[in-house]
Amino acid sequence: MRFSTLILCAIILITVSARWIAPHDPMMTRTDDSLQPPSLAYPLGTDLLGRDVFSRVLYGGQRTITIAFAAVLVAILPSVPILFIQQAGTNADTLLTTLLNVLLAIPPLMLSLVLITVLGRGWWQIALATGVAQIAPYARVVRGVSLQTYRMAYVDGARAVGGSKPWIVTRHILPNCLPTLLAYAGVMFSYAIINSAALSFLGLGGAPGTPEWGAILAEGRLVVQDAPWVSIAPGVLIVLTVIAVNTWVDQFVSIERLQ
Amino acid sequence: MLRLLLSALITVWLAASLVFVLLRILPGDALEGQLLQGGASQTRIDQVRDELGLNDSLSTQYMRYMVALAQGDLGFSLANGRSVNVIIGERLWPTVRLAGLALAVAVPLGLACGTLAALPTVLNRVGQVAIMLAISVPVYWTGTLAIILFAAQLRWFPASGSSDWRALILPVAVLSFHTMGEIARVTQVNVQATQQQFFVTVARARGLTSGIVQWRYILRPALLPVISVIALQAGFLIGGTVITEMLFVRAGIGRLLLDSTINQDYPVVQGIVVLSTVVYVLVNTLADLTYRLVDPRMRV
Repeated sequence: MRFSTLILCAIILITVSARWIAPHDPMMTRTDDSLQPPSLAYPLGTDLLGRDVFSRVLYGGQRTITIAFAAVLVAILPSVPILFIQQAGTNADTLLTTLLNVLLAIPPLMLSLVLITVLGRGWWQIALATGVAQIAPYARVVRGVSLQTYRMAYVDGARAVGGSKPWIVTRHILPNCLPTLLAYAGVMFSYAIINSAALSFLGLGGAPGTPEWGAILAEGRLVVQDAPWVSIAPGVLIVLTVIAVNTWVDQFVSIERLQ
Repeated sequence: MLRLLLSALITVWLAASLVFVLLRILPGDALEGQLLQGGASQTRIDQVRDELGLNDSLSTQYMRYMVALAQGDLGFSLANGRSVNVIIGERLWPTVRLAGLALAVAVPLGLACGTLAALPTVLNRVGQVAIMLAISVPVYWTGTLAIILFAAQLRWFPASGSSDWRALILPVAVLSFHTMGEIARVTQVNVQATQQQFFVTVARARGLTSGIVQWRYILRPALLPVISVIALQAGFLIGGTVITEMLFVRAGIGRLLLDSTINQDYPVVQGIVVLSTVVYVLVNTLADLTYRLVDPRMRV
């Protein structure tokens, strides 16, 4: 538990301070130093164009984490109105469940690719496409938790004393759903890292050569024979971040219970 | 049963409409880009657009798309004017084979792994760790590791190509490992929950051997609900083939979808997405029906 917090803090710290830690410019190519193994000058070696993998991974983390964060916002914000649905089976609820069923019927990566087709390649496009694909899974959890909370006696009590709808939602429903919703947002964050890095791994990100974990992994795929370190560094960081986030969330609410 | 099929049909229709609407917000498309590159004049572009019916109103286009879709016609590619049905048909087999094999490996593996993780044996930690890795590690990373280890270093299998069966082993292994994750997790949870059931305690109290208790009383009821999880994993599998085909440089639907996405060839993207949605919904409806048939508790 403590360990996951530590790793999470470390990853955020080193990526945020990439500007000061990175020994080299992540975009600077030095063809003389192509595919160098890890050394003092290049802690994690260099890629095909002689760029320092360590520096690229640090800057790449900034991009990956920012994209995942934006994607989570896209995924969770549309769920806010769901908190106002008081009962299963009302018109609003039927509309919502139909909409969710339709969204969930399209495999997530397919939905993302449809959006990229429309918006074109790029980083914010990846964030949006990743986020939209996660709207329905998140909304489904919000619906479940919220409807459960409405059945509580204290909500009846709040209604009985004449509480207005917005007041009930902000004072009773939201605070009581919040722990679960935040925990699931955490799970969404680790999914967003995996899925956005997948899209960028598929070559759907912005300008080629821009550091991003998925993109670096894809670059490493091409030189895997001679320089496995190029793909190992971003891969290990993706996995480490995802596992750290999941373990961190798990200490508050069991992820299994959420799903 | 009829209601289930009807609701599946409506879901597919609405999903296909959603994809249609999303793809029509397109600012530039493959056709325009390609014709401009070929030095075509604006009048020629308008002419081709007219021929393909792209200048008609959105509702006319929608009606035409739906009528064609109901007949199984997915339209024509903007990039080369060929029928989307034919293009998909050419690439379908390698992807179906990859996904089918991965699923065939993943189901027994997932059931075994989940059971292993739930039952109190020496190996249950191994099962638990395998499940965690299968769920939280992305496909493209396991795939890259497999390539580094088994293709680049040990040279046991080729890292790319789709020529012989040996090229299929790594992609299938990687894809099935991750498809199995969710199956194993649900199996584990179910087996653990069933162990607490009253009828299991009763069976033990009757003096049945632990083997009989485990097979007949715990595993049988615990494994049935996994059918629906297997069906849900089809969605993951469809996405997984796109990544696997890219990683192992294989021809297939995933590759085609990726190229069409980049070229904004929306009839092809639309065709593949609608097709995979139909498959996904169909598989889940079938699973639902099967579950009702095989689980006697559902008939009560």
